[in-house]
Amino acid sequence: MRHILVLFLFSLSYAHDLQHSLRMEGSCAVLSFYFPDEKPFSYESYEVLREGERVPFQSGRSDALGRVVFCPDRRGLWTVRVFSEDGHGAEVRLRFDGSSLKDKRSIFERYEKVFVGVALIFGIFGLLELFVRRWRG
Amino acid sequence: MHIPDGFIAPQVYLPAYVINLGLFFYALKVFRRWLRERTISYLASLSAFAFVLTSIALPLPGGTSVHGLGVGPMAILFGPWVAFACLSVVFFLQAFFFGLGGVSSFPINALSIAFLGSFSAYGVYRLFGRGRVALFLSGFLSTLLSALFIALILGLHSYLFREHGRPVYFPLGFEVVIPALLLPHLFVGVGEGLLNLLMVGFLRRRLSLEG
Repeated sequence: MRHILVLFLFSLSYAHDLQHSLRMEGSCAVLSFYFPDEKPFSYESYEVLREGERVPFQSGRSDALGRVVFCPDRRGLWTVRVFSEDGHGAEVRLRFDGSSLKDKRSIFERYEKVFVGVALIFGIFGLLELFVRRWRG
Repeated sequence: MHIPDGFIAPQVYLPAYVINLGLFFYALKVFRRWLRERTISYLASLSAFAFVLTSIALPLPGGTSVHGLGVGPMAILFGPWVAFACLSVVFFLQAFFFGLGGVSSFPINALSIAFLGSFSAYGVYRLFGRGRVALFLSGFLSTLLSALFIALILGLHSYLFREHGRPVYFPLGFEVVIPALLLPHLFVGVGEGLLNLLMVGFLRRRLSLEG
């Protein structure tokens, strides 16, 4: 029963992981938001903010495919915030250099997979050590 | 060097899965027979190191990128079957949980890097006399052999699997894919050779200190 509860809680945490991808169309950014099962974050509220400003440059709702499109008019850091009424959401920070946008992710976000993978490998070998002790003991 | 999904035909990856599974279960037998408690931390560290090396792409001039392998030290110090077993787990995690390399192409990636890479690294090291030159050549040649194997498998698809005269899976022939994979991996091979020189000596001293 305990195992089922852990799996259930894990599945819930996985379901809340809102992901995104970025591409440029001309001078505009197309940000797509989706859940890990590829379900788009459709018709949800978003706002786009220029660097250092509190009044949104643009606001609205994502389209049926979970996309937010905006065309930055100046260089600097741009923040895109998406959120739904039930508490899902994400904040993406993008650096615009006049011609291209770069996803400004933290070092952890950039190498998240590597950190998790290394932790998993050490976990697997940690478990193996327990078995080896039992075999040899 | 990880091949993504969609490039390998089912006629190739299904038999490759069977071969890979058979080899993996045999490797597990060897691994279990050979395993000692004091070496687990070394194997864990080397597997984690291989995971990091194969996950981080390094950009090269010309718009391409490569990644290291980290196969040599494990194969030379602990034997090719143990290295194959550990690296198969690494590639399994990468393909099934992290999207690095395709699920359908997993057996090809595992056979080329984990199996061929480990056995060639170990074989070259023994063939060239187990000295410093052998260590360097082991890293260099095993990297090139793995890259060549992947290039041959990919290139073969453009000739074998065609519909209406057009390739269905990987579209480029040997004349493109072999130089495209081998040339960047000359750099990786040099890096792997140097890595072998640095790591094998150090780890061997550590292992001998522990008795």
